[in-house]
Amino acid sequence: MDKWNFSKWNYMTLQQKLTGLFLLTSIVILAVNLMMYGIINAMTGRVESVYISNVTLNELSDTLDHVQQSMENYLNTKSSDSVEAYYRSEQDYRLLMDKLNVRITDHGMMLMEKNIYNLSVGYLKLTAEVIQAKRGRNVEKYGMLYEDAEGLYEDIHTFIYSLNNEQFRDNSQNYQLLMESLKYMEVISVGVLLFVLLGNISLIITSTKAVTKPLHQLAQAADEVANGNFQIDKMAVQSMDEVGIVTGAFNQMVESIRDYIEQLRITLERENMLKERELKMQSHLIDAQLKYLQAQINPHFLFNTLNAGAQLAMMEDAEKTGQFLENVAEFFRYNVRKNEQDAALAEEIHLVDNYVYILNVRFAEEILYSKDVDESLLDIRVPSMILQPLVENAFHYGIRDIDWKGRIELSVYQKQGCICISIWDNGAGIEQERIRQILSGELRGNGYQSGSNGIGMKNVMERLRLYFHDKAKLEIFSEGINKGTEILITIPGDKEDGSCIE
Amino acid sequence: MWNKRIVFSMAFTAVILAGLLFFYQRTDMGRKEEKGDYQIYQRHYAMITGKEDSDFWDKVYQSAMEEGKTRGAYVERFGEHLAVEYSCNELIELAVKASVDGIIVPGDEDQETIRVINTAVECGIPVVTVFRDSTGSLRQCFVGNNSYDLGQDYGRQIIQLMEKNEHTSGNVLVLVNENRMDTRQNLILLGIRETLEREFGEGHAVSVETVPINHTRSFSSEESIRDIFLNSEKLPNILVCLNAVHTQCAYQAAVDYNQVGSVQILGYYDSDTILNAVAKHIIYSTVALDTEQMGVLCVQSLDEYIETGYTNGYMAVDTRWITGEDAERLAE
Repeated sequence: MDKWNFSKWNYMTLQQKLTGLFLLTSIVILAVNLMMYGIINAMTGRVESVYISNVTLNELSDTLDHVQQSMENYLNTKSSDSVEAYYRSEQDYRLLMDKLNVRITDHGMMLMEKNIYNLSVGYLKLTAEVIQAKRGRNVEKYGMLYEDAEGLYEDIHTFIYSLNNEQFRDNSQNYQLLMESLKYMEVISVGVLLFVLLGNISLIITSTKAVTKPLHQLAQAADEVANGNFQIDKMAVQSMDEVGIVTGAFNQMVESIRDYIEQLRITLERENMLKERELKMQSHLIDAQLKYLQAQINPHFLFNTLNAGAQLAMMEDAEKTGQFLENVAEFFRYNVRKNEQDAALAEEIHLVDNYVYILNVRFAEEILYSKDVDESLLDIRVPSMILQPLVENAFHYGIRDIDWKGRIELSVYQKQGCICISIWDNGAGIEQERIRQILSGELRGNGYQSGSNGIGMKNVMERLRLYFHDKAKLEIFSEGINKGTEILITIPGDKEDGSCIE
Repeated sequence: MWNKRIVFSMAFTAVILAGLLFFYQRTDMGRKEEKGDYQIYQRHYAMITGKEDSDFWDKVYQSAMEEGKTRGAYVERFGEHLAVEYSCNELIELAVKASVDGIIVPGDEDQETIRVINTAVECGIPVVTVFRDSTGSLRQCFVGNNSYDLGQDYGRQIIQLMEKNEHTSGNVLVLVNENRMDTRQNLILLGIRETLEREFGEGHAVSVETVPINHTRSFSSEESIRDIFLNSEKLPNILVCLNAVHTQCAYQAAVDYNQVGSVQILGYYDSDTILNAVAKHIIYSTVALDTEQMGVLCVQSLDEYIETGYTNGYMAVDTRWITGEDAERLAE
């Protein structure tokens, strides 16, 4: 049965448990109170009934008086009222007498009751004889009998009085005892109540602790989870109440979150892999495009051929042609050679020189090219092929179609720890909106992106970003149409450090 | 854990209930019988003793009551708890009216006493006189000692005392109750006188006188006895006491008036105080009645009469003289 009770207890709801607990404690207190009340009530009842025996004896004594008086009245008046009163009181007295003890016992007061009973029987017999004699007008007889009856009446009174005294003494003792027990009882009842109260308090404390402990543990676990720690142990479910259900649900939730995070991680990893592949694809594509271009013109052949052309021009004393061919050859050689990622700034500048020379030859000195380079910065490493496409753009979109003398200025200087590379032209200029579009890459596929060499502005920006880990900056300045353009690349003075005071 | 809680709470409740039950028992709330335990008996005997010499009568009553209990009879000390002080005769009459089954009373030769005893017997209530007899009455039995024999014993004690003190003359004062109808003391006196006469011959020089002690008022015995000691010129050589109260008063007066040794006291009864006085040789010797035997014989004779209709008219109670040496031994 106990086992059944316990299992049932485990399946009770929190409300039922707490209600049960409070009911139990309340019932205990109520029971104790009721019992105390009952005991005290019974004791008070006994205190009240202590003197009841005296009351009964007084009643007996009074009734005896009535018998005697009514008899005397009858003797005096011989009235029917008095004889009626005599019979009534005699009847009453007999009824009261019947309550007296008639057994022989060793209990003093009970024995006195027996004596009173027997004396009373004799007395009533005498009074009856007196009445009878009075009726028979036997004056001498009733006079004598009356004297006997009166004597006995006084004796009975003495007996009743003495018994009353004895009982009063005994009752007083009982009363004293009862009062003492009542006092004792009060102290005890207060003690018992205090004890029960303490017991109940400890019961409530321990029980509510047992109820709230899992809740507290749950709260702690929830706090841990809230702080991001999902690696907590699964919490034990102790009972099937609300706390148990919430604990189960919490366990499940933590597990679900853990699973979800794992899935998310896997998905992200997969996405990253995909992105990486895409990037690789792009770089491969560019690589392929480059390889394709390189394959189109066999650089070695071209280079050798151009060198041969240059030698021929030398032999024919065509110095300018020779120089031109030499420049062209060098231009191509750079292209061939620069398959690596980066190059010295000097090499890049040299390539620009070659390129501008070739353009000047092609377009009959149309371009006024000048440069202002801080010599100390020539060894700085930069991604290869970044200056030439920009100069190419400056020529193609800046000064090619203008009516005035085109100028291109390349300057390399240091500014606040950063290295600035500026390509300035006095050409057609660019509208601000277009600058925004170019920088944000919205003009993909446009000429700005794929110059004559196939390497566009976007490509330059991307490679600068990658090479300098987002620390490099490319800016385009133009005051408007026909106001010229400046492309300014700002790279950190130290690649590793990457610091650059703005 | 909840299981533990349940066990704990059940144990707690059980402890509370057990405590309350224990407490309930402790405060004797469960007591049903208000008058306590008592036994029921078949017969009801009334023992009427009067107020005098209560120590002596207490012992007799105690033994009678205990004997009665073994025989299915309860002996009541009739009139003991009454608020009014009745005389022995009145009490006998009341006992008759209260329809007791038997009466034990110290008798005397007073006509009134004889009348009430006779009334009782006529009403079918057997009467046993104890210690003192009412010879002229219809009483069924007398339980006591032979007064004449007792008188002879007193006489022999007086002779011993005189021999011890090498006296051939002297005066002996016997304290007697004022009640002249008391045959017991008359017989004792006769016994004393005859014994002395036998010893010393007729017209001997030992005078035996009596002093009546007034019993009509309470405490008057003590005053009367002190009066004897106040008149030191007339002090007797030997003072004979015939009951316990007289003995005690005489010895106390002898001590108070510095007459120990000059007045030799012959006592009656063996209460602790008297024995102590005997051991201190303030009282020369005392006669002890077997109170236990007295009580037992009273009840036995009543029972015998009720059961068979006959009983012995006289049942003798043993007496014993206790001297200083005996008392010392007893004290040890």
